[in-house]
Amino acid sequence: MKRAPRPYTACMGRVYELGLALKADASATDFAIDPVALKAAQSGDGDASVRLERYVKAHESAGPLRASLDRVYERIGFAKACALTLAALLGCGAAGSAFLAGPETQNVLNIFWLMAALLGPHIIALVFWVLLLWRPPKSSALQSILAFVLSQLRRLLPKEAAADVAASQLLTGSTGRWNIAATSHGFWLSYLLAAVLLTALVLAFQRFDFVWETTLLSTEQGSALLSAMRAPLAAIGLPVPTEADILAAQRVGAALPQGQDNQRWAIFLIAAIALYGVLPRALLLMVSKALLARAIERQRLPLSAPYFANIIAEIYRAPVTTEIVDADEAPVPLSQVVEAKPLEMETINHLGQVIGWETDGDAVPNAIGMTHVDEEGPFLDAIAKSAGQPLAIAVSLLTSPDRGVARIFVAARASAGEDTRILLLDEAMLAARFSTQDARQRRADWWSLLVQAGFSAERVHLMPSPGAPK
Amino acid sequence: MTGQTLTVAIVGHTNVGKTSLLRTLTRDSAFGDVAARPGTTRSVEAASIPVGEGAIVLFDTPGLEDSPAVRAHLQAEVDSGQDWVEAIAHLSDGAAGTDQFAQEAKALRQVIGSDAMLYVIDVRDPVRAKHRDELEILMRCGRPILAALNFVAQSRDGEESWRDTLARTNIHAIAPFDTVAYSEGDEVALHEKMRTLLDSFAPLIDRRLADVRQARRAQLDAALGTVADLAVSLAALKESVAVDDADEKLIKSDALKQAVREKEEAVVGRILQVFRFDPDIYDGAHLPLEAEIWKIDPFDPNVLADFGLNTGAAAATGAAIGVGFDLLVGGVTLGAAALTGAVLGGGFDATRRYGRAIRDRLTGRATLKISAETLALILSRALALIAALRSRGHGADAKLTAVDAQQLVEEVLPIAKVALKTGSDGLAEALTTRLKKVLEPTKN
Repeated sequence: MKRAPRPYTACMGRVYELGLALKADASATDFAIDPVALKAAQSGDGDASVRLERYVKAHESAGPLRASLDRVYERIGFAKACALTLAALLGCGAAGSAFLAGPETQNVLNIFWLMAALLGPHIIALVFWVLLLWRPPKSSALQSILAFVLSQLRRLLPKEAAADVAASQLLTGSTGRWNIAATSHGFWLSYLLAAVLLTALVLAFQRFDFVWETTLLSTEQGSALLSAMRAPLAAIGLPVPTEADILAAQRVGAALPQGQDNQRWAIFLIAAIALYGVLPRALLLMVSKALLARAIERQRLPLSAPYFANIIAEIYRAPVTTEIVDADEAPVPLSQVVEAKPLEMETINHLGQVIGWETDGDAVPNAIGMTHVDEEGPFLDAIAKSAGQPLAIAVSLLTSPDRGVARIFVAARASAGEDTRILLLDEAMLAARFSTQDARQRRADWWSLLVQAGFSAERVHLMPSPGAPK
Repeated sequence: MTGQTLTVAIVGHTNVGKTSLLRTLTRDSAFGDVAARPGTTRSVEAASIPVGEGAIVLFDTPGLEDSPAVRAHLQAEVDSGQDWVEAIAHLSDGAAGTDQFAQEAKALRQVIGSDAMLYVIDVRDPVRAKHRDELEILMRCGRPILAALNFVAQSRDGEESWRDTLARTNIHAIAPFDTVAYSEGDEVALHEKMRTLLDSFAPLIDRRLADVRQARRAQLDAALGTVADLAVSLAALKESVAVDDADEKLIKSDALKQAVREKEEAVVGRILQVFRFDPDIYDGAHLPLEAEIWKIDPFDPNVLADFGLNTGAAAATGAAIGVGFDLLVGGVTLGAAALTGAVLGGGFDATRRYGRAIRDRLTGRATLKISAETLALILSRALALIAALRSRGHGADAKLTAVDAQQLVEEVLPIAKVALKTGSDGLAEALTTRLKKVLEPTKN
């Protein structure tokens, strides 16, 4: 029966993996955005993280990548099942080696051998794991070895983006740490459970005598070790061997103990393996699984990673729409570009009254009198008052030659004499503010405005900027 | 806030940067027409910025070119018994029968139909009578006014007199906002001022502000990530050459240089795309990879020396052609590693890292790769480009020429060395963080 795919959950698990798979699948040089996914991400609320997840889920490659991830995880699941089966077989083999079938009617179970075969490797592995957890290797040498081992494991997976992501999830980082821990504890739990079950089965259907023997330890030490192991079991009310039973079970020479309470020994052995082996491994497995789940839940797509940052930048590239809502069909004709003549020095020296339209300061140094006006009425009044005298009207090129100014200069021309000069000021500031082309166009627009207002083209001059070469 | 739409009319005298302001706010340098001529914008054009389920719609309006005449016309209407709002509505409806004010009528029509108006000021211009007339008309429209002071980065000389004039007109919501020299702080302040004027739109404006900030962050991350990717990919470029074969060295070093240039060009294009600028913001048709545009040739040891980059070691190992041989460096490092223990893992590490160098030495070949100094220079100018684009408004029409990368080179050199030394898959993210610290040292 085909398993249903694991569901997407917000901010975790599959979306994270899917996002990383998309990233791994994307070309490093050719950055492409999926428009449908982009639209999904842009619509609706949510911060960058939420929008990125919407993008990932809606991406056109999401389906195939999700299927790839499923395939990879199925493969990994199969490998894990094989490892657990192997662990169970090893556990059975280790337990079986402690049972010695006697030559005649008496079967013997070596207590220390059974304990050592089952609990020994488990305890050594447990200590090693705790040490690694407590002090993770920092030396580059050890890290290189680990990286090499992990790279070899990675080679067992297919060469595709989903496999890279799965390998990264399972072997590296916080999820890798707790996944390896959970797998390791699962392996030992399978080993110990199989051994305990085999031991219980054998003891259920065959009679064994229990012995212990040692070369390295003295009788007192061996006895003390067994006493220490039985104490917690006795504390919870299990029937355990007495001191006398322990001493009596020591094998000396070929003689076998007589009159043992074998049931007590059987219960003690099974309970000891469960308490010192199965129980801690089961607890550690649960803790590791819980921590793995928490690590997965805390995973967020790295928003500042180049690939995702690019997507987020696209998501926040607000799709601005524009439209003309009140159209004007008459374009402004470009003025004919005809430059005004620079004013010659002799003329400057003989300027009379100058009226400045929207000017400030000492803009025309050699004027006899300079009046600055920026209102239409006073401007026209001043022009009317200067009738019969040489007059120049100064205007800044920075002033926009717009429709309002044009209207006022038409009115000014009506009051001014034929010989009125127009001085265009601030050419240097114009050049500083605008591009060469725009400045040229501005001069032409002013020239055009003035000529259309009725001023003589010959009498429109560019006023040299102060400090400009004469 | 759901579905809320805020409409804002952008108004002001002609040629003060109304369209440029809209371009900068929408990050769209193609919006409307911008020129130094009056009457460039003659139609009302709307730009709708989506904000969640709602939107902020900005209307670009024609400039108020003849406000004295418009004011006189309105005053005459008022004198004849209408109130100001009626007179303005009459004019904007076109019912006044004055084609003379067709452009002003369009602008005023949009102002009356909007929730608020943004009055754009070129602070370089002195306050004139025509401006006072504009303000008089606009304040009679019965809509909240926010004044945006444009071109403040060029000169703030006229700002005080403008603020004084605005205060006298009872306009106190004023925000500096330069459409050419962009400042995120100014954009935030502009929105905050608008929020105080339009409290019923506060959630919408807050959301827009959050989007602006997030977009800026994402743009920077994306651009820096692209540079980090460039560092990793350039560091990975390698060519094996026969030590004694000058022709092969020349051909392959040229090929390597070309590959570097192409990658840099692609990254520059991507950075421009991230910040929503067109490649034509540069002078010339080509991106700034040619020495005559950037005034910098990243393969010239003399140029590198000018940037304070010591090319002595690299020059001794072949940097005269612009890239360095890694052979000696690899050999020395391997020797040092052996002396310090050569433990099993070290052996793994060294073999992985220097295996090719050892093999090359045995076969009389050398590895040609980019030098740290050249990589630092390329990364520095990419960072300088990012810095320039981050402070460039989309209303700017001046071309972007050479960017100043010199001050960044010293800080970037160690990053370039890390890229060349490490070269792992996860490096780009780490480099992004380090590059960000170079660009924004106070924020990290």
